[in-house]
Amino acid sequence: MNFIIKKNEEVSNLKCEYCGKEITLEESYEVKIEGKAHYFCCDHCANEFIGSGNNHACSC
Amino acid sequence: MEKLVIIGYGAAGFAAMIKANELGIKPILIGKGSLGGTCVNVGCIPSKKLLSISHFYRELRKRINSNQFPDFMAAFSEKDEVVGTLRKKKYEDILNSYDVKLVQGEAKFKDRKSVKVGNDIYDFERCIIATGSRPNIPEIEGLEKIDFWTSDRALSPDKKVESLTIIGGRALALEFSDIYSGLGAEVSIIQRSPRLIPEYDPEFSVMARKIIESYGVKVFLNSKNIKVQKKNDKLIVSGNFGIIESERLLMATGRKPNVEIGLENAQIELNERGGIKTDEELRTTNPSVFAAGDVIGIKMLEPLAGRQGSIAVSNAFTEEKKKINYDAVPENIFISPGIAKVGKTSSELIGNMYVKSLKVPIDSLARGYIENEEIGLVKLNVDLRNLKILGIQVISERSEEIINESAILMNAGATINDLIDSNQIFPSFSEVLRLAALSYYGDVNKMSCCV
Repeated sequence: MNFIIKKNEEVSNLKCEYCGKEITLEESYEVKIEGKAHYFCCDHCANEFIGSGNNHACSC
Repeated sequence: MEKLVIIGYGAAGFAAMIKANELGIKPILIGKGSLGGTCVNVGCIPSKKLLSISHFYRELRKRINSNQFPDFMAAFSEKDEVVGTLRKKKYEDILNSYDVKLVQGEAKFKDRKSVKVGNDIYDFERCIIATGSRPNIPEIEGLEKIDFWTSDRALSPDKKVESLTIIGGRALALEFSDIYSGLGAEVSIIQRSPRLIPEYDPEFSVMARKIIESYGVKVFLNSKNIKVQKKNDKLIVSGNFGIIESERLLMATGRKPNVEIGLENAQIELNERGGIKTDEELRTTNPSVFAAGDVIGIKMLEPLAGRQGSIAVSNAFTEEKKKINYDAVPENIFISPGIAKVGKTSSELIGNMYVKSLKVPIDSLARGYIENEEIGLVKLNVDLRNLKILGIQVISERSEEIINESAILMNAGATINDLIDSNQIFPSFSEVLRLAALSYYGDVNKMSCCV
């Protein structure tokens, strides 16, 4: 099997939109709000962002 | 007029036939192709045999530090023997034990109350559609010009395969990457989504990738502009990831329901997934016709198909009006360690303010440590108002057994306290569920083995 792999095109890096932690697209929780995608490091941060969190600290 | 006509003789059709006999009904069972449908012929049974061979040799190589791979074609012969034996034992012989008229041929609805097979017409009081599914092939540039594989062909290669490219990133892709890498082939996976197994939570997707990368499989995510072509007996797959050259290409891009049976003549409608639209009791938009199994297109799982076949007949002829609890339907990806889930994931529960996730890594478990398991995790989603378990996801050896126990808990509406109050074997893998439940009350790292 032969590969010619391009670099730096696999996944782009993101920041959790609630706590700011750096994450990859692969490990992020995606939540669509009014058609726009938002990315979070965990379900707690996603819930806090949309105002339904249960006050548990981000465990990541 | 026939009391019951069943179209399809796979898992759902067989379960429907057995239930019909229990109710004193002799059905007409119509089917085409090999008896037993997808599961025994080109689904669960052959793939699990090949996975078992792959796992045995991978463990052997690890334990004795060898480079021994199984004989490629002998593995497929062994698989054929298992398929032949189980098809005979679980389908052909079973058929002789029941009161049924078997009709082989292609069925089409003639109108709302009859089906046609060749020149024969069967009027029915009730009908069950259990026609199953077939591989789904998405549009990819150049695909129509090359000889690609679906899962059916990947289960029966005509010669040894040195390299395989798989397009897809869910259960089928992961299992075939395990099989072929385990048989010594070089394997790469091209997934269009940003992660593998997107129906699980992201931490499980990341672990799934680690597992198959540990087999030597190359994984390319978020793949765009995929094109395929043949060049000098090799298949070339290109896209934003670069260029990959291999001997074979497997399209592991899901399955689609077999609905080309003249549904319009019987006024049977389709759902948004292209499967047959049913209500909770599995009745289609034609009140005399029910549907069961993959043809509904919601969850394509063999045991679910069987349950649906049985329930469809029960609902067609009795007042029981049974329903499937889809939150208690488990699923498993049989790689090693396996990946399984039942109920709701955290992604599905976002926005529910009363949910807490309890996560425990598998190496917190004595059995995981004994077996040198480095990759593994269990996650319980719990409703904080009543501590009811809403969903369970697992990565572990014996994940299929752990998720069976989880499905029983889900079906019973169990709480984490029910789990904590149960007595379990030590050391076992399924103990991890109880350990996760205990993590609600304390730090599992500060707990002794038997708590």
